[in-house]
Amino acid sequence: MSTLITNIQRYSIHDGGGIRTAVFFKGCPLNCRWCHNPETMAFAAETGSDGRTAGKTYDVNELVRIAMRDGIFYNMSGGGVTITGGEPLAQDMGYLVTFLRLLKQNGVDVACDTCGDVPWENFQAVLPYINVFLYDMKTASAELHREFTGKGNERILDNLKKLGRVAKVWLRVPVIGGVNDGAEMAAMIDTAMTHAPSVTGGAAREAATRMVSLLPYHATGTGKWAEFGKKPPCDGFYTPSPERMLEIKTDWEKAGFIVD
Amino acid sequence: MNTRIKALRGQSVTTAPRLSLERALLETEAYEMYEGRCSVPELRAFTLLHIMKHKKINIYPGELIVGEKGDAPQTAPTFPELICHSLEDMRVMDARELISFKVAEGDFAIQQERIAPFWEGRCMRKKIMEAVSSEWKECYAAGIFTEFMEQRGPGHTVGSEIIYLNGFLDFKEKIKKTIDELDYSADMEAVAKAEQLRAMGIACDAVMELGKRYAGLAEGMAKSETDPARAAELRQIAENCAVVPAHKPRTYWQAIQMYWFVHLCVTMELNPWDAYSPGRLDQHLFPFYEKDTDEGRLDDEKALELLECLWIKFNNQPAPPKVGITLKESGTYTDFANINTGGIAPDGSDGCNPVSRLILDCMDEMKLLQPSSNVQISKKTPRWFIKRACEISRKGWGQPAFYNTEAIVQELLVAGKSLDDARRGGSSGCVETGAFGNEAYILTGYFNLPKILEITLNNGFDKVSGKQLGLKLGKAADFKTYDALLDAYKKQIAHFTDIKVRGSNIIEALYAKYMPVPFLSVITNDCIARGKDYNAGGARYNTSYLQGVGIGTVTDSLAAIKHRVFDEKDVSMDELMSALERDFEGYEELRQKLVNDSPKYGNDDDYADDLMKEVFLYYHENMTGRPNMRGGTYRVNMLPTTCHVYFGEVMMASANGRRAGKPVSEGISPTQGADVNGPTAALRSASKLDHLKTGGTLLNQKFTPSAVQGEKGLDAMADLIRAYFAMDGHHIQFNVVDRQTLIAAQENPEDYKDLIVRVAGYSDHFRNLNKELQDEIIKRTEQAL
Repeated sequence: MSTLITNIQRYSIHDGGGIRTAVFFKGCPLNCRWCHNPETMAFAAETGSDGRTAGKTYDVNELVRIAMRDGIFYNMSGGGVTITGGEPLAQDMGYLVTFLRLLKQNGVDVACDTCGDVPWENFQAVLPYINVFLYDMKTASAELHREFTGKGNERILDNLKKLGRVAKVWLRVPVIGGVNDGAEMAAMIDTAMTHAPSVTGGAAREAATRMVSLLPYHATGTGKWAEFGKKPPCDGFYTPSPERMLEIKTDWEKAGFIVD
Repeated sequence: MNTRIKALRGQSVTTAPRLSLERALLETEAYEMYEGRCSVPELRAFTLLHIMKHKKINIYPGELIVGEKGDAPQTAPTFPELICHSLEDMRVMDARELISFKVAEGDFAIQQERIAPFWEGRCMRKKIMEAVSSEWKECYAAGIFTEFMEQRGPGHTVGSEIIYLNGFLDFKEKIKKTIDELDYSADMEAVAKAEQLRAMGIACDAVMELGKRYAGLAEGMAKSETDPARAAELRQIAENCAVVPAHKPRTYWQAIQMYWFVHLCVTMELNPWDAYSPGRLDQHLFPFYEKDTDEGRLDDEKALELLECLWIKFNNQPAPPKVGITLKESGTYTDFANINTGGIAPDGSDGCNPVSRLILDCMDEMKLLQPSSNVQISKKTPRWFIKRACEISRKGWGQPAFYNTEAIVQELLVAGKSLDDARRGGSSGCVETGAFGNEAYILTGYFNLPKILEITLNNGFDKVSGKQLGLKLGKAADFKTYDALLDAYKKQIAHFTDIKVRGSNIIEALYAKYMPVPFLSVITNDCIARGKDYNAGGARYNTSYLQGVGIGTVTDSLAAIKHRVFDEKDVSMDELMSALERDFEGYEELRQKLVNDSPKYGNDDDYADDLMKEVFLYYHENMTGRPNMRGGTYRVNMLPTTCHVYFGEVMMASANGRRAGKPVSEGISPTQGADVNGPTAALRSASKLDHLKTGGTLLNQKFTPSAVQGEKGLDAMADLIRAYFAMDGHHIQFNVVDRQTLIAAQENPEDYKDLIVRVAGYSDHFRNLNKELQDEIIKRTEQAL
């Protein structure tokens, strides 16, 4: 399986600390109906309606060279590289680990943005190279999860529990109006409390494990769905109001999380 | 902003600029009285004294800092000794839509009957045009280069701390001592020095005369003032003006008034482009601030208010009216007094102090076009300072601009300044590096780098002016390799810089002879000791600059030719040349290939960036070190003001896909819209130019508001700047405004009267820009997330 990359986004400031380069891997085990990067869903290369091809292979050394171009910006800002997608941990793990090992040799801080729905071995393989996992939590309920992403969340929660014991985890919660912005959110906070990692691993880990980013849904990805010949999600998702976002933020904070 | 400042600011921003002939009339009188009866330097000094004795003076309600260049706020004096405006010029100024100056009805007659007959035959513009070669004139007319001294005096000096440590009685004493010590037995220049020095003494009298008159006026007004609070202020103003400028300032308030008197005299003596600037104002004011605060005379509220009064004074002075090509290269009211805040202290330590913070607050509250405020960021600059500066900058109106202290210091050291002088230096005008108070760093003109490539491709012939301006080195198709083309391009650069430098040397010599500036010489270090004028090499350092324009356009054009014609060979040189000739009519497919499928500077792509490096290096090596007429040398910097629009107007289409007549790239910024890999890639590309070899470079970045939103956005902005500076970048400035707003402002200017944008090394009201410049700014790449 050759690893495909859809985009290398420099000056990325919302995917981990500082100024980062985000590398978008193509292909994801989930099929979220609100996905704002639909071109990263399938593992195979695709051509959009405008003729652009989504998905390109890179020689791993070339990829490292590109990722290192902004080294000085990482140094100044406490940034680095974020692997994202798609699902970076559902790729050719040999290729991925080589990439991460080379980044580590260059002293780069790496964050991994994951949906969590991959074999635990894949997490283990990258653990030595990842400074922080940006870990998505979409719903607490397995049924809702199945309905909107095509798969249940049992493995995701299981991995979350394991991961929190050995690594820094920063939860990312997409707040999708009509899906999880109501009562479901309270259930998610409860789940986060029980599954999110224990706080026995020292002060640094405590801070990290109690971080959560709340990402309100925006309809920005819908245009891209059509571009890649996919039926756009007509599920009536909406952007939660700023007031509701504030309430949700307060609820997470009450539960002891630092909300980004 | 308190009510006083609100009122003064309101007056400053709502008054329409108008022309004032007062100075021209007084100057004419003075010349009639003194010309031929004394030396030229003394004639110039007596003229300044005459103006200061007789110009109208006023103190406006609420003012705490006093003095105007014209007879009221927003009046611009004229300088007929530099350019004697025709009635047609004046009609155009009065009527033109942008950068207009209202002319009073009676002034046309005064100009025609009194001013023009006296000055027409003897103004500098006439002398210059008679003295320069015909090839210089042809190149000038064709837009190969511009000439800064064509209707403005040599400028670019920035103040140092000496006016806060000396009063003009002290300067007079120094001058007298130097005259007494002249050695007529061995010094061949003693007589000339005596003339210069006597003129400097008279210039001291001129500024003191102005101070004395203001002291008298304030005292008189205090007596008849019914409001006791205002009466007390007027008495304080009277006291201030009795102290400064004759004596050194004793308080913070007096220090600011001292600067303002000096500013008025420098800019009334002659019209130096880029006016004058206090330079490191926070450091100069800090000792006064500290003392006054300790002794209970001053609190931060008052200190800020006084700064704001100074800011309004700057904004009250539109740059004197320009016409013709000079208007095109600098189409703005801004007079480029560029104040540096932050940076390092002369001992090398962090220079930020409480006054620095107040200046940032002042900038933020005042939101005025003038002065052009900037910050210097050094390795030692505290985080609060850079973040506060970013917070103001991301509001979108382009101030403050950011300068790299370590780069400035190294640039100055490379140019031969001492470390002490380098640390006191900074950036002025747009982005130009100078040893403040010690250097006359005179910009000679802009240089059209892409136009010269156009001429190279046409065997030295300029198809726009229809003249053989360049060398005959072969037609485009004769260049069989990229290197052959580049070699020819370099030879043409050398050819045109030779022409430019010969002209500039003539012009420098004319200014030294006819337009000494004794007042500016008093306050520029070493002029007194050397008995030499600022315009004749009296300053400690004397540099001349040629400013390269369009490096992005020329790089992308070369990259397109190299890639398509010589590497890929899918476009023939003949095909390209006919496309350029026809402005791509019928060649849209080719144009798309050039625009979208050729390497571009600004994307961290070494293919293009290496070409940029080579062009810059050649330009630099060819110019730097050439001797000027003032005992110094030429150097280069890279900035455009508004000249990139004019330089595009005189060009055919170019090989990067740019259509005929459209603007070329500005500063060292990538071609508008060509940088598509985000801000870090653009900054990386720009940093590949060797900034330390220049006297300043200008980089614009346009951000959508969302790209720098929130605390994260603010941190990222500060880190981008730090990283660019760690790579030796000289300067960066931001427009934070989205495209839709700019387009809406273009369509409905009335609804966006307050919209201020960053142009080049300055900010301007969007509505004050011509359509081409507005379009150019809209087209600049928008860095989003």
